[in-house]
Order: sequence, then structure tokens, then C-alpha cells
Amino acid sequence: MLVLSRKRDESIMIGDDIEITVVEVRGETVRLGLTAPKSIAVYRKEVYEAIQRENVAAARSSGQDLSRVAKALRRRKDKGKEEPEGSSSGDA
Amino acid sequence: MTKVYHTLRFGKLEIREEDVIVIPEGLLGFAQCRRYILLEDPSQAPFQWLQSLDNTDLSFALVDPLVIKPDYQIQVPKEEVECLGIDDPQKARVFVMVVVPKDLSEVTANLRGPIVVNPENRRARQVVLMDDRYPTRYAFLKEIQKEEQAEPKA
Repeated sequence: MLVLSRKRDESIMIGDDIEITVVEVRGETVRLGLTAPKSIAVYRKEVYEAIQRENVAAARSSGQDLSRVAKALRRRKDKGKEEPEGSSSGDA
Repeated sequence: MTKVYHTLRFGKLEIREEDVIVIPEGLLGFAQCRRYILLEDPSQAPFQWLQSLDNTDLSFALVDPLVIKPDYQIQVPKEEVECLGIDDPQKARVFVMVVVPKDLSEVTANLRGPIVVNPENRRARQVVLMDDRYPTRYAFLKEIQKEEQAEPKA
């Protein structure tokens, strides 16, 4: 890892297109400003890692049979379409 | 023109190029895989599968988030929508990934990292939502069971 020291309002360039600026330093929190092309996604690392972990878990589990879960979902959908009890649809 | 792929989950597939979905940046953790096909298995509807064409062992179970969470509403950042060439956000198709643990009742969906597809050019992207309301592990089957238990008995 490259470690650089920057003061407030100083910047780092990554390649030609990405700029990171120290906007504010308050206690232990550093506010960073980022300029990058739209096609490059920027995330807080913990969120990125959580998504990646779930992707890997999804890939590992994709061979499983989901028909029982599918049944439960269809059952709930069908229930939502039923007439509620006691509706006055006038059945003699 | 079709091309044949031999996949782990679905066996032999004949895929038309115009059906291929491209994820230019790949999925998080799977940056090398960019070409996919969306497959259905009627016996497992509403679940669908995103099958990789770059790694035929790789597939993901997906579901329409509105099926498992009818009030799911996301704000996709404008830049992400533009990247996909989507002019009308209503036209975008959104899927979430399903994780199936050994205990089927613990099945979860990742509501925080939906896959957004532009059906017109078949480009897609995994969007990481800023909104921390939505968990990466939403136990939707448990929620359904809770609902069913709360319902008054007939």
C-alpha cells in the first residue's frame, strides 16, 4: 500500500482521471472529496466487501433447488388475490 | 446465430448472441465475467438464473425484488443509470441475488446490491445502494412465515 500524507485541501491523483481531496479533518474523521469518471463506482469499503461476500455466497449456492421456496412465494401471491373473508359479494 | 455452452447447472445451452446480457464491469468479486444469459425454470418461478458464459460453472439465482418485498423502492444514482444507456428508469429491470444456505428456511436476498438491466441494449450493472435501509441479507422466507403466522385463522 502506498502511504502519503496530505493536509486539508491537498489532493492525490490516481492515473489521469481520479482525484481525491482531503476536504476536512475533524478529530478522527477525514472527509474526502472524490472526482472520478462516471463509469468508476466508488463505495465505502465495508459495503463493497459485504456485497462481494454475498455474491460469492450466491454463486456457491446457486445449484440448490428452490422449488419449495418458490411454492411458498406463489402461495403468498395467490392468497393476496383471494377475496377477504366477509366481503359483501352477495352470495345467497 | 447460436453458440453452444456446456454449463454446470443447466447442461448444454444454445445461446443466441442477441440474448446475451453484458455486465461491463462484472459483478463485485467476479470482475472477469462479463457475459451472461438469464434463464428460467418454470418449476422454480419466480426465481431465475444468471448463468455466466465466461465461466460455465458460475451462476446466480435471482428474483424480482418486488415479489419478495413489495415495497422495495430504490434510487439508482443517475450516473449508474446513464452508464447503462437507460433514458427512462421505469424501463429498467431490477433483480436481486438469492443466497441459499443449507437450511432452506434461511434463504436470503441481497437488497443492497441489486442487478439493474437495460432490456433495450442488454447491458447490466450491479448497483451498490447508498441507502442502508436495505440489508445485504434479507431473510424473505422468514418474513413470509411471520406474516402467515400473524394472519387470523380462517
